Amino acid sequence: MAVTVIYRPIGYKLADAELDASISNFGGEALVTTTFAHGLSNGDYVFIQSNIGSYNGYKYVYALSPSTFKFFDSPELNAVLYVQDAEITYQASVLEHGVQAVHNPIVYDLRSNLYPVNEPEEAYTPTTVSSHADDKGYTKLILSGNLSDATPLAWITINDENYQIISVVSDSIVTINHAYNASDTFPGPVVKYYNNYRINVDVYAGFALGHPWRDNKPYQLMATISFIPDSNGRVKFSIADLVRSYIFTRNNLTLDTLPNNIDFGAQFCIEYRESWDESDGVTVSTHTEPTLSDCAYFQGLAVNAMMPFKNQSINFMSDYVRYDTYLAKWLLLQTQLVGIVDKFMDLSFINHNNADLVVYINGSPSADIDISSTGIGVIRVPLTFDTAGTYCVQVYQAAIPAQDSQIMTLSTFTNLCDGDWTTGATPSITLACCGTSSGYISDDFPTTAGIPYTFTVYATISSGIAITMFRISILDDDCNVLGYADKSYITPGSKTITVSVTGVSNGTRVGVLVINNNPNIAGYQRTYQITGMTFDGSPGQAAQPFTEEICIEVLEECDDTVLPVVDDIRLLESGDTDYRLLE
Amino acid sequence: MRIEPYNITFLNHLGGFEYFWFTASKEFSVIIEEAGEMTQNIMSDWPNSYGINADTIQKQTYRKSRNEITIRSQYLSLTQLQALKEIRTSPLVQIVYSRINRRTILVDSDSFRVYDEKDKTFTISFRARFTDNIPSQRL
Repeated sequence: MAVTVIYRPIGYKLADAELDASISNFGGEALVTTTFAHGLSNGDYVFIQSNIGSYNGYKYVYALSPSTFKFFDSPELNAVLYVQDAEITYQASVLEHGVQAVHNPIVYDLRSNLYPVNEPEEAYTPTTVSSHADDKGYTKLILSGNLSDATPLAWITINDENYQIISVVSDSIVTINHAYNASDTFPGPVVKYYNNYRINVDVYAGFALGHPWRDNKPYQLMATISFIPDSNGRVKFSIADLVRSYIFTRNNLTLDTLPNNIDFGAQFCIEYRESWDESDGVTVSTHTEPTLSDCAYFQGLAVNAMMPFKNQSINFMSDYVRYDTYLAKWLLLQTQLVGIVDKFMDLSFINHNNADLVVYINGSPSADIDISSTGIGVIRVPLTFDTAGTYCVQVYQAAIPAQDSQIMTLSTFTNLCDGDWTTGATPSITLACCGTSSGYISDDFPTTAGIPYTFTVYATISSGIAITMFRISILDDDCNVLGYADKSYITPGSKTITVSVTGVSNGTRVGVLVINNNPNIAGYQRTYQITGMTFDGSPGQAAQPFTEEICIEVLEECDDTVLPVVDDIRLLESGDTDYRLLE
Repeated sequence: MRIEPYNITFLNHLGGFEYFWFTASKEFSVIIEEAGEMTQNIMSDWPNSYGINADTIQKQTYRKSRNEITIRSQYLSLTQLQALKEIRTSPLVQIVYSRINRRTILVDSDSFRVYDEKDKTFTISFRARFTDNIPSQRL
């Protein structure tokens, strides 16, 4: 792949625990050593703080042992280099998320290995200039090997100089647009130069497939922007301005989609492709490579917010998304809320994972508001109180009832994600060796994020060596794998495969995939058949706190008690403890 | 005269709406933003336009004006003040009469002092213009 995404706008919600560790030299790379089992896995992220600038910030982890790890600025880059020994403090990330403030930059970083340096050819095509000669005043090059694109009007690079090919004798003898001089030298490799190279990025914003209000704000192409990579082949850009055009700053309390305030939120993602000049020998036209989509890998949620300059989570709303016991903060500045009887007010928070939610209002009287199926976005909780008093408001993820077991009907299963099964009452497939995958055979099966679902698959493997892996996955309609469990076998025959699978977000399908891991030997091919499948139930989940609790002092309209917390009342210089400020 | 409290909401930098009930006395003003005048052509009706019964040489043709309110808070705690000061930096401030009845106001853009550490009481006040002109006729 010529273009890779080096940096995506992914934010990290950090664990509270700040852990001490030290950094030492590990073959020129910085190695973190802890005095305890760090519990990190490859792909985790940490936030490091130390007195050495290059060690600091959000880093990708590569765990070497239970007490050591290397770290990277990006998984696509090399490990952070050792500078000097240092003591560090780090916090582990408990959640990667894409929720960010649209009034701050939303930054991607892409890297090309074709421009300005054609790395694949520089590395693997050591074609050099053997000699050169006069060709009607131009320079004819006699090369040590064939050019990858020996076409008139194509471009080549020699020693950081770019030349256009004028005529071609053969793939290894070409004339270039350079005046002949017998004393010229052409050191270094001769590689194809991608003239007029661009990385073209399509920016999409709106709500993705499956969002309940997608019709009101569908994914749209906001713009296509073209970049020329810098000397390192990198392009770094923000799409915030484009996404912001899909955010509407208004206070519409009768918006059809409330409590989801879709004015204030939009998902986004990018697709990208390269283009360059290409010659057919007569004319030069623009060649465009196939588009690569980043949307299946990452979709962010931009909200109508701007984060302050000095804050740990940068432009990400990390404190305002919920993970496990780390509750989401309300989108509020006030900590002591005052409400008035019969006067409308509302509170906003972010639902970033499409959870079904219930708002509990504890007071006299208590009440609850069902805000399930609102979809991700900024949620406004409408509140009007009939009676004065103290009310504490907290959003909970709705309880998920336990599900009973059931027999699944294999005849309704269909192929998904390049699945090539023979469908029917007992789906089957024959696979070649060496890691060949069946693709999924799957059926509709709605699942809730974070809940374990147990399945049993009854399958047979044809005779012979049968190094096989079965994978049972929770999927969405776009074929994204949201959770999976594997079971491996080395013998043929009947298998009863019982696994528990938990999805990272709500799923819509369950699927089975088989991989034939036999080596490339005679008779490696195997036939797999699924003879039955049962869903063995799920335990459900009690209601879980989603946001922090916030309390509202509700007063009668004529009540002049406006300082709800007595401790906040300032006393006069006399120090009278009973003195109270009145209007 | 009874003080009519205002339920005011403003958009904070996080993307949420804050509400506060301003109960202190307000000051109501009218800003005359613009007035147009014209000079009569007295020749066309001469000599009646200049004699004992003459009416005017100049006349106003229109006036553009807006209501302005100086809104003051009751005494606040420091934490309340630190949150409510953003009402002066928010681009969207409204008086909320009900969920379906709101009026956007434009808060003055003057610099302001939030508090002094020696202050014994904390309040916030600001001038707010209505976004519509006061209705008036044009000549």
